[in-house]
Amino acid sequence: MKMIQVHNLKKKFKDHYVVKGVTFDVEKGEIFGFLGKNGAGKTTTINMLTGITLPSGGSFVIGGKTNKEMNEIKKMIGVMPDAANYYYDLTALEHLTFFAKLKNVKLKKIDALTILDSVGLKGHEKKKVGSYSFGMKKKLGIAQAIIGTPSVVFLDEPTSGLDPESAAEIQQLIQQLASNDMTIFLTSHNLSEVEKICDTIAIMEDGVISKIGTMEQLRGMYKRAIQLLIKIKKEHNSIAHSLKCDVGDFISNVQTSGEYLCCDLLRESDIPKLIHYLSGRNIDIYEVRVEKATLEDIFFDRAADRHPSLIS
Amino acid sequence: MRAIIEKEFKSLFKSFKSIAVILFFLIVSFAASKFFSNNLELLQQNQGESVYASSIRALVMFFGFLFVLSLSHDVMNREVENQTIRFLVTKSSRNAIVIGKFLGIFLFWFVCVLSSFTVIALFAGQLFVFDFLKMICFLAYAIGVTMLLSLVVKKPSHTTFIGILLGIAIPVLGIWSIASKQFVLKIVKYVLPYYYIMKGSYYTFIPACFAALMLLIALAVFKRRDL
Repeated sequence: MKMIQVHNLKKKFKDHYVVKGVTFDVEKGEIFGFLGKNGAGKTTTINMLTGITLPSGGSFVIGGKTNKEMNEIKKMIGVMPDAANYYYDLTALEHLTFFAKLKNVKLKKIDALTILDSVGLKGHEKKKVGSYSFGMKKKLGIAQAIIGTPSVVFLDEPTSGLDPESAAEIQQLIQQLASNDMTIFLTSHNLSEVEKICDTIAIMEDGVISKIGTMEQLRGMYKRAIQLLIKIKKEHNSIAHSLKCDVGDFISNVQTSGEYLCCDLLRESDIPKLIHYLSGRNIDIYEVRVEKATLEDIFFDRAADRHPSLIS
Repeated sequence: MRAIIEKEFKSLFKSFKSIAVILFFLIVSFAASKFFSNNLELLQQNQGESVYASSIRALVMFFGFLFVLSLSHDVMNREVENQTIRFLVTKSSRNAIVIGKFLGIFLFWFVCVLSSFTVIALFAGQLFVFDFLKMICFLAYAIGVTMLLSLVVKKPSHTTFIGILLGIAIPVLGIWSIASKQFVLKIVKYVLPYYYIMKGSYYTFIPACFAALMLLIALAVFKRRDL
């Protein structure tokens, strides 16, 4: 079931289009990662989907409600906006109570404390938010987003600025929320985090989505999805030329560096074919290393830079 | 909307300026009432019992705009500048935010003026319902101006300055326009609430209609705003 459907969404500020028509779907219970450099348009997109900013064109549907029914959408979403401040004279508990009232959600004190506990704010619930650290404010941002167990949660850079331990806790919480059928839409600059927890990833560049899919699909789109490093005897280096001629259909590139053959493959299933080819020519293999393209490689499109020392 | 009304109302009571304004209202009401009850001959020379309410009436008409603007000039733009508005707008409708803020401020002034009129009523031994309604309609107008100002001018530092300026200029213009025969000031007379409050009768409620109109404009402005 599609929980979010976005069609040709655009945003213009003065004469400049920041979002130039994005189209994508998010399935129910999915963790959808939205990546992009600063200024790519991801926060503007999230702001349009949550009612903070008004679209200049296009449409979207969240939980069956169109963008014309924004007030209905607000009832089923939870939002952690980017860089928002809090009411510094209120405590975390007072914030949750106020936000719950705003959403017409009945929130008992015990439930509010459970939410704060789940984000690691136990023991800080009665402190004024003005005395909170940056990380604690981030955690409170997530806590207020999950009040009333919304169907869709939008998190704009939920772990930026958090220490590794807190970030891991938040990642775990996000996965737990998704396992309870909540749909999570998050933006992040942390590529390894997105790769680790997101089911679908969209990469935004200059106001458009340049790549979208699961991690496997993104690798499939990538010209160097798998890099195989094979240690052979140096005198067998000439095999690189034969490889290009004989099995060039599944090897996109072959290079040598010292005792290493460095082969770029498109699919994982091509690995045994390559090994079989080499052993069929009586070439002794001393070591095989499989390097899959990471999200970072795909994001920066820089497979060639992965092992510069190895490439001749 | 209830949550926003409640928060706005409570936050006004938390500030030192608001407490000072309430105390000022109460002290003036108490002092004036005591003065009139000790000088009953003044009541006979003037308009009778209504003189009791004259002090609070003068206070609201001369300083009402200044008080309301100085306390609430940043009611909307502060939330936008601090980006706390993002929490509100993702949880509640935009209309509910603007109306809630308006009603929160209105409730504060309602309580403030009601307390003053209660003090007066205790001394005079009677209720001044119509005088009370006049002041409430006048203050509703001032709150409408404040809401619009806070939405049109984006920086709270700017609304502080403009608020004080308007708080002084509006009463001067309002009272001057009633007596003036200049064309421009005649228009001003019909736009500001002073003429209607002075005229009394059903004219008293016209400023409240203006307040409703300003609220509608504020809703339209806020609905089109990127936050």
